[in-house]
Amino acid sequence: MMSSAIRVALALAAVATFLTLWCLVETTALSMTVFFAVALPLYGLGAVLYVREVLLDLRDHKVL
Amino acid sequence: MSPRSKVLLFVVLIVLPIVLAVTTAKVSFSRAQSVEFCGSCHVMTPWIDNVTNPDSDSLAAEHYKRRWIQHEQCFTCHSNYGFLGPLEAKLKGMRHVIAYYVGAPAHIELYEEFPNENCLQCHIDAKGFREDSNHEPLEDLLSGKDRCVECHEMVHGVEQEDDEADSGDAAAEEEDDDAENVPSGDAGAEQDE
Repeated sequence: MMSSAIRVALALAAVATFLTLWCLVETTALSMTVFFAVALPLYGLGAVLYVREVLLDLRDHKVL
Repeated sequence: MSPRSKVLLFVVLIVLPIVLAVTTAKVSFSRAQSVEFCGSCHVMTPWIDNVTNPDSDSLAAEHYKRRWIQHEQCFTCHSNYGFLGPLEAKLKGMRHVIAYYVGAPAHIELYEEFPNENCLQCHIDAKGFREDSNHEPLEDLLSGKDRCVECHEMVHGVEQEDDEADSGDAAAEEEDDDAENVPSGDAGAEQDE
């Protein structure tokens, strides 16, 4: 069962991937700006949520 | 979370984004060197139109239509030579993108004087260049004492309307603005990156 944080992370990654592929297919000033200003932060946020979830999981299992 | 889920999510949320982001950054920065990319900002339209106009006799247009530079004509002239030249050009390009959305200035000009090195990189060993006595003494060109664009002044041949937001105070100030309207040749070209 996925937690809500992981679902959000997956949704963010999906949006970021869409924007990244758009930049990859059609490189313009706009798409590059969207890639750097929106897609990369979304990827970063998704990664943070994932790491946080893993750390919480390890703490629950008393590994940490 | 099961260990299998963790690994799967690690790939989906960490590994794939890194691979995709690095690939996209590499490809897009490479494509950003093309003339078409420079023309994707509408403020650059006059310069791109001039460069690609076969009837134009500006220096940039001559280089373009005669294919003295085969590819990435804007980037080739406007990225400084040297180890960090291309990197500096890309950083300036990002600055241009920000300026484009924040509000491009009415009068577009280079951040700094067009360096002779960018011309001499190709021309310095050319026979015609060496034989032209106007280029002597060569040391003055190499040192930057003499500037290439002082003689070869119609680089782009683009006239700009100055930002008149600050005008209206004094006639003398307007005269200065008019003087800046005269195409200096290299004005705005660095925005082409």
